[in-house]
Amino acid sequence: MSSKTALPPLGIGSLILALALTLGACGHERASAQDGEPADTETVRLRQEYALARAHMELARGEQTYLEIDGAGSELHLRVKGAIVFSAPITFLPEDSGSAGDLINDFIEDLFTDDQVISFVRERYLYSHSQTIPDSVLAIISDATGAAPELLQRYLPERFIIEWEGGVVLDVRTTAEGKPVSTFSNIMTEIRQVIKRPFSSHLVVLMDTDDALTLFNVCEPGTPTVVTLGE
Amino acid sequence: MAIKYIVIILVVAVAVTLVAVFLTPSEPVTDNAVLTALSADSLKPPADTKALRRELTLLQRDLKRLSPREPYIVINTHASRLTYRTADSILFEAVCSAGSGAELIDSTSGRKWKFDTPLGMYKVTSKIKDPWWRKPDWAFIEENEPVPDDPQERLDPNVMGAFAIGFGDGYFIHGTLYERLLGVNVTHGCVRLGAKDLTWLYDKVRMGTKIYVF
Repeated sequence: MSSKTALPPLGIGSLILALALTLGACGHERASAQDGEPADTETVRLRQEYALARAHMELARGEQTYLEIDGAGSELHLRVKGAIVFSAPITFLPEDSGSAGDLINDFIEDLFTDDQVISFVRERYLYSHSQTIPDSVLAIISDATGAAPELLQRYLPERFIIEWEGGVVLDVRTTAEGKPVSTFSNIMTEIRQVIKRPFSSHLVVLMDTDDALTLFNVCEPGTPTVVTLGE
Repeated sequence: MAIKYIVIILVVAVAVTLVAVFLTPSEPVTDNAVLTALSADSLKPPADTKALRRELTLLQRDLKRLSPREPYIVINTHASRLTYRTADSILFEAVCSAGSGAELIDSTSGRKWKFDTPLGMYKVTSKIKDPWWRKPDWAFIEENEPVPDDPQERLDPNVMGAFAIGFGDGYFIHGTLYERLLGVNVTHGCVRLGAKDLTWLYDKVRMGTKIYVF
């Protein structure tokens, strides 16, 4: 199993929307400035909400599962066609010093700008994991079902990271006792993360093992990510 | 002395290169050449604040409609879990088995099958008590048996459990003879549940209940 994945083709609709919203917002700001009518705070807020709502709508129209970060509720959601199909609480490690609200807000601010309401997962990296099915049992099941063992095996992640454009990182830890996927790659990735850490948010969270398994598998490169719509 | 300086310069050069490599983002997800060619006119927010507020209200109403009002089924193929839930809470959760992703090729005809559970949104299209399995061609090819001409020879009353809940193009949530394999994705695309869980779910769902598979 490769721990690093290649970029799959993106949902072009999502991609188009991300840029279109960005360009649209920028273009509109420019138009307002040219007209000599700077937008007031309320109008700016409404435009941002509108852009975010359009982003949610376009993602809901697409086929791809997308990630939603609920800062106020400290939760991560996965949605399919607009419906919530998975939720996981964002729990910080006990040794983390900052307040939960501040940490999430900083993370969201780094992930999204005023003009960009969708961010895309750039890569994911699995540090360590454990097998759920012993090899001996797997061989029996594989023999009985005709499916290859590598298709049947399920790996519970002990630690992985998801990185978005701009270098924002979600560092997920679980209570699973795993083995390193590749010690050398882990060291290189860790060095890279340490060097990058001062320049962008790096959120370390503790997650239920099954939730982490789902999140890791779904968040392949290209997965669209949005923040929750306000009420 | 000169060698010492050369070594220092080399070390610094290597260090700078490493930092540059580590900080260089990998291939960007967005393709700027494609994106810059797009017209954003249709997505511009209305210029007038009043119109903007009205558009936003309509948009938020449409978004709310996307979220099912009735409880719905979610099949998480990654964790082999089936949940019956609303947007806010999980009403029921069970271990299931989904498609293995294995491939089968008929060496005689060259036909191919990939045994995945289809992802996306579906609705319950049938509810069947005491279902019989009508074996498709692949079931015989997989067992190295000849595909029968007589349709009666395809029927098997003993493998789908007490109930079957149909969705998509011929897929079912049904029971299994092999409950010990629940939690491992071993099926040919259908979703297997344990007998008790299947009975509970069959009683709760109705025709048209939404099913989300991811």
